[in-house]
Amino acid sequence: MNISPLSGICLGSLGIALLFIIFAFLRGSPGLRSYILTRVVLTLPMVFILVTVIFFIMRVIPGDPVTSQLGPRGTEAQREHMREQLGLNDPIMVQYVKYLGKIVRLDLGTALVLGNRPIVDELSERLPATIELTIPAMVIAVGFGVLSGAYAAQHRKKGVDYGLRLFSIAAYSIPVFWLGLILQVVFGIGLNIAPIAGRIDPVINIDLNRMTNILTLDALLTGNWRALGSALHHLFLPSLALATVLTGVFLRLSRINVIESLVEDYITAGRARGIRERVLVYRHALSNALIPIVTLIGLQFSVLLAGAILTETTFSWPGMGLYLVERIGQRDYTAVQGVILVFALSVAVISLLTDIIYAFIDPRVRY
Amino acid sequence: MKRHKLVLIASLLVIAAVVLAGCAPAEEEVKTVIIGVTDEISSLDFSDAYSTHDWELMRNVNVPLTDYIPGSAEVGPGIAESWEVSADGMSWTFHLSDGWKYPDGSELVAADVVRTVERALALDGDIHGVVEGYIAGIEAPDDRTVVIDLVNPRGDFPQIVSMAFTMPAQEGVFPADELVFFPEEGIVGVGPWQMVDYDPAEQVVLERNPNYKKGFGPDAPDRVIIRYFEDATSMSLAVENGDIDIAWRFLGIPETQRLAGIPGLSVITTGGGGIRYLVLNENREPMSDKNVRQALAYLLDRDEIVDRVMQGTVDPLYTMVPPGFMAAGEYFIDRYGAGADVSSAEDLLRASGYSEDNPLAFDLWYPPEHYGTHAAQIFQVLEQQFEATPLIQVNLQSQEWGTYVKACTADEYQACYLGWFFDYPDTSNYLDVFAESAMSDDMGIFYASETMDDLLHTAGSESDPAVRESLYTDAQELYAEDVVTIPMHFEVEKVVFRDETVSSVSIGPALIFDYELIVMK
Repeated sequence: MNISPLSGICLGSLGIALLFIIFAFLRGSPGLRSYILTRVVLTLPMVFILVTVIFFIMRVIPGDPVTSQLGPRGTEAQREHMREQLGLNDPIMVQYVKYLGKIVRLDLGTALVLGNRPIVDELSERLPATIELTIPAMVIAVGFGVLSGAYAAQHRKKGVDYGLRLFSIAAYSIPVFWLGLILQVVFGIGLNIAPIAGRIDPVINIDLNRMTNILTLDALLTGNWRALGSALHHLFLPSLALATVLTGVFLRLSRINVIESLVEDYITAGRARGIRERVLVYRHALSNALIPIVTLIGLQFSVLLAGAILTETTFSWPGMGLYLVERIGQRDYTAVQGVILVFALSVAVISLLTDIIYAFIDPRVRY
Repeated sequence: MKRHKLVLIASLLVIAAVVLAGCAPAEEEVKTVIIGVTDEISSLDFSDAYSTHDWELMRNVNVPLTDYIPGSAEVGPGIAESWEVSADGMSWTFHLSDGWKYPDGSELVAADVVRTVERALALDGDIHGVVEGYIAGIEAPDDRTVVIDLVNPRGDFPQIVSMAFTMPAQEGVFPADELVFFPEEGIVGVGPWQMVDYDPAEQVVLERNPNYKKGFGPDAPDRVIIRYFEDATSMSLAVENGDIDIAWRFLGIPETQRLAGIPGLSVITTGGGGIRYLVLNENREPMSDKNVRQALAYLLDRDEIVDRVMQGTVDPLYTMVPPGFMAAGEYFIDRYGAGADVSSAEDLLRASGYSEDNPLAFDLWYPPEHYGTHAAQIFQVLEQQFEATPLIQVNLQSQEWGTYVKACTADEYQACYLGWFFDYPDTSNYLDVFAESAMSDDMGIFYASETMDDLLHTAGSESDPAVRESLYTDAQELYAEDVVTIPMHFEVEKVVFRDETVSSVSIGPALIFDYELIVMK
């Protein structure tokens, strides 16, 4: 059986998510089980509403793919022929029912432009690039944000605290495309230590054997260290740009939670027992502060994807975000629907998982 | 704690070593040139392709029956060394020259050309309508001869067969019954390059065809990589910091101006086939009145738009046929002068009954983003120029491209703005589509003139270049007199390369970038 990289990644992720949900369900209390069931059932109508909204929004916005494709050269007969071929002459409800039928069969249709390839194939090529960008960005954002938040809390009302708070506000406010451009100019042109765009050096790319299309992973699996270095080098600026805009919110949340934890009795008791302040902050106070941060990771996932769209555009990073921007311009309904569907499902699944993790690790949470 | 620090330092060193390995320039065994573009691949099927970038790739990989003479918009021999037309003008015979070979060493035969043309005729590709309009049938009486029967006589047929649909394809590469937009193995032909690897979203890798008939210069690249960028800004930064050697289409005005001031970069202006013009819908009032159209032609000051808005990055256009093509000239200057002539315009408008109390009012439409961010500024200036007389009131309107282009070509607007890029390099392709009665309707112009039709039909079927030139001169004089459309400006393209790696590039007026003519340092 042939499994595309997209299907592999999606099935793999869903499998892991499912295993975790089953594990949490089996190990959890009756209250947790009831919560998981409710949460899973609520996800289904949410996905249905998302799918429906996406379909109708794409049809009410101005322009259509036929005129976009044929341009001024297209005659009315050609336009009519193309509309017929694409099923755009069917009543909208017929189109909608056909669309839902395809979704159920995991068939996202074929692109309306540029070779009319299956959307699943096109997304298979693009999704790994987005994963390669967003995961390091999220790791950097959470890692730096949480640790620097704890550091700011430890040095509350000192210069470093004010500096980090100021940074968090600035990071949160800066548009990612502007930040990306500044990073390109500073690191790419001024210091000339980073490439401007793309995922890998074009020459090194020729010899890289792509299996998953996640280039760092492919380079590791094939032992191609030059390719690994080049892929990491190219990942530097876009992941830094995307991570920076997410860092601010993690920093602030981490700071305030650690500050609250530091006045708890168990911290005071720790101090009385002579435990070093650094251990109290990073091992004890931060551990307790992490619980709301887990929830925030889920909420920030949609921000991450939105940021990825702009970051990929700025750095010509050929991921799902860039694909979405290109296909919106070409009025490629099926491609746009496909991307938004994958994004929406990802957010829905991540939110579901985050809620369950939160409920699992914090027994106080029951709804 | 010390152990943790050691682990951290070791990890950082490993990451730094790996990244530094990636930062180091790739070991160069072959001379590689990297060309950045913001274009995209639409189709790599010779029997389907109908876009400038696809054609550029194809022309570097393959050779059509006739081909551009490097550096000019004229066509000369391609894989065919000579050709002749039958007495009735309905059949053209092309004689293929010897020595054309594919990268695998097999020889080109006439059947390879027949295969591509027959697929273009049979399959519903983007080029199908064009091919069907000209070609009735094709055959290969022997391995070196191709005979093409026409639907109607065409004097410009050697220009028409310079398009990609006459490029040869080996048997078995493309299926006869379906189009293959993105062939898995890329495309090969008898041209200088073979496509060895490609990803439409990232890059195309071309290496030399070892059997290329014409050979390569001593400083030609061994390998060409086309790298795709999302926008001109990142592409211009990439050529500045050395990620790419050449930045090609499309560099915007601000990028070109910025790069021109940077040492180590050369900016070259090339010819361009793209034109911009005003559609005046003659099916609707008030554009059905010739006096109105002529008045607008009198009021337009192209130089002001070129200088003030486009900052000299385009050239004014005084006929629909850009410079370099047969019978191109400045017919609108001859008829209406170079600058604005308000009094002549007012005379015409008054003759049509317009006055200060009863001014000519019309909607002028433009797409806000499709032709670049300057469109709005162009139209603000245009509004000022037309309203230089109190006898005119312009109502500027804009619309998203998808809706706009349909309305502009379908009798919904009074006046609008469009662009055109030739399908094949001949004057006919800049006149027929706008001024020939049937075609004009499809372009939203609705111009009809028996005299014009006679001139265009006769010129189209005429083989004698001198006679054709004379006929196209007459047609353009009539075009200016009737103001079929108002030509505004034609685009020149900019190419930027790094002096460190590239000595020169060769791009002709028809925007043909021959990669084998790149001279590397």
